[in-house]
Amino acid sequence: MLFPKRFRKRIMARLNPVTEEECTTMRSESVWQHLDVRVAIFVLAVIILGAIFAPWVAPYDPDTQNFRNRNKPPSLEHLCGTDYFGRDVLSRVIFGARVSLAIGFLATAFAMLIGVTLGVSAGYLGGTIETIVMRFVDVMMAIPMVITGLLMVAALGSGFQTLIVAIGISMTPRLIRLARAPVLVIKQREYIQAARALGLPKRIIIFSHIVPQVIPPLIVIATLQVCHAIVIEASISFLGLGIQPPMSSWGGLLKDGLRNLPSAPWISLTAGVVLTLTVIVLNILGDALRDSLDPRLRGRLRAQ
Amino acid sequence: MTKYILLRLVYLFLTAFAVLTIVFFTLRVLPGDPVYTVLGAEAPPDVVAQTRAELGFDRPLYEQFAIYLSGFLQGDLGTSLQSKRPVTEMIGLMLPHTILLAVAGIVIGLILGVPLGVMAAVKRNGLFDSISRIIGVSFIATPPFFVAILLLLVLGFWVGAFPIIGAGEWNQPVDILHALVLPAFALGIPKAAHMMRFTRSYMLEVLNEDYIRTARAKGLREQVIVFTHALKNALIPVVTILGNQLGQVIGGAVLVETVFTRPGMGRLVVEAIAGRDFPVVQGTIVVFSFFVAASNMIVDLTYGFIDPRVRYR
Repeated sequence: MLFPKRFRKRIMARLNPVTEEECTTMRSESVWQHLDVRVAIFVLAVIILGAIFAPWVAPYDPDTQNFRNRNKPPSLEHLCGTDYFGRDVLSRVIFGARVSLAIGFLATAFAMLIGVTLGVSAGYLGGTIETIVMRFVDVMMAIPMVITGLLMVAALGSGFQTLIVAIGISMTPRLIRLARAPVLVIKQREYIQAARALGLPKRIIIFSHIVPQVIPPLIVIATLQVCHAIVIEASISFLGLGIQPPMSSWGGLLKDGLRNLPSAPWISLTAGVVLTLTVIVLNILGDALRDSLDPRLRGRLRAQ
Repeated sequence: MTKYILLRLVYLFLTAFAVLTIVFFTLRVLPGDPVYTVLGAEAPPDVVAQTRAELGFDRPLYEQFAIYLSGFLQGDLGTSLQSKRPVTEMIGLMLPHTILLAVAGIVIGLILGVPLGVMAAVKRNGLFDSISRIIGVSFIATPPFFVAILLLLVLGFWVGAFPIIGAGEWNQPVDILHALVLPAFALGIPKAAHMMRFTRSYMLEVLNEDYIRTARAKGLREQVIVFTHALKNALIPVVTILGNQLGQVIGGAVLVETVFTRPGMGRLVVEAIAGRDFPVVQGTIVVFSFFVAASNMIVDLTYGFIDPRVRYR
């Protein structure tokens, strides 16, 4: 022993100050015990339940106009004020949550469906199909997602269903890439070779041997993608090409609010805060989900 | 190196061409008829037919595409259906504003984000780290256009320190910069949160490496270790991510422009899509994708400067 113990400890701390932290990371502590994750689950539950039970939760009808109550600031009667037509802002935000969340989740599901199918097929089949799909993905990735969304809305028309498809399509290229990468590794494994040697059709190998392996990590990514979908929906509606009035969505409310920003800032503020809060809690949950599935990645960030 | 750059340039133009093809045919599948955009909804049928022939919309699709493509190769992106002006001229007027905004946003993101990330990594688990983590988590998720609305409301309307509309005239640089502050910060603050988190996590990784331990054992000063030894290596992935996010920055710029009623590509593309102005939509999206692809290329090339180990083949 070169140094006495007390010196050695001090020197080690100087040389490698991260050891202590590594120990805390290694301790088997569930991410679900973290305070921020619990708060996030609670907030998300409130938002989702509020959206589902909107007709009972909302204090007023979101479309009833009251011209005596135009642009009223927040009060006990109208907690978040009223808009230009005297409609209750809080009620509109609650009903808007239905549209925004539904589009967020459904568009992600749509993108997952197409992305996983194309990505896994490209990865497993290889050859010309892979080249075509992946070059197409490269090209689509060069167009900003919001712009792809706008283009698709222009192509399909604006409305609830078309927005789901439009946003889903704009998210698909990224999911194809993410779904293909693990397949390249999985297809080298012995059990896949065994399945091939048994003469199973490609379709069965892909859907019952490969897809189940790819899905769990993609579920995590999907949680984070829901944020993107919600933000893109809000962006498109904010630009006036998405959900059309009088139907309310968070993006549409932000747009209405911007028009009356100096006289009625509470419209934009309420919608924006709720939108941001939703995205934040989904981000926290996505990170937590990923950490709990893959502890090696704990503390590290996703590449995208 | 030269060969690599040439190859990337060829790839760049192939991307632009492919985007053009996709956008061209996506637009042609639309149910809406652009001829009515030009004439209004109540135009008599014979006038509609005549205009359609004049604009070339009666030809087969592949012929329309060939005509458009030959124009594209000569630097002609067609003529707007609504304003009747050449699309290249419209883009030429708008593009500088958007590039200025996007670059300013990225610069702010880097200037704010990287140093904060380094500080958070060095003083990890300290008070600063916790505060910056909370701020980071909040701003990373905030859509830039909501940050824009907040800045517009507080600093534009309430404090009144910055213009709330427009981008200023090019011959008045002070006005341009003054009008740029709020939009650039709106774009830059969420980006800074991103950069901060990335810088922090990569710095932590690098600070764990053996050569940092060696540097410490040599008794180098902490500043030298952090900035010359660690940061240089931590910046490589940060720069990659920055390049990959340029698409997001441009997408954000489109919305921020709308909030501040700035002239720019954002307004151009939104109005063109709403008005079914095909040539303008095609032109703007091709230019967008060209910039995203070009910036990815530049990022790949900058590796060589940041990391001398990287060699191009």
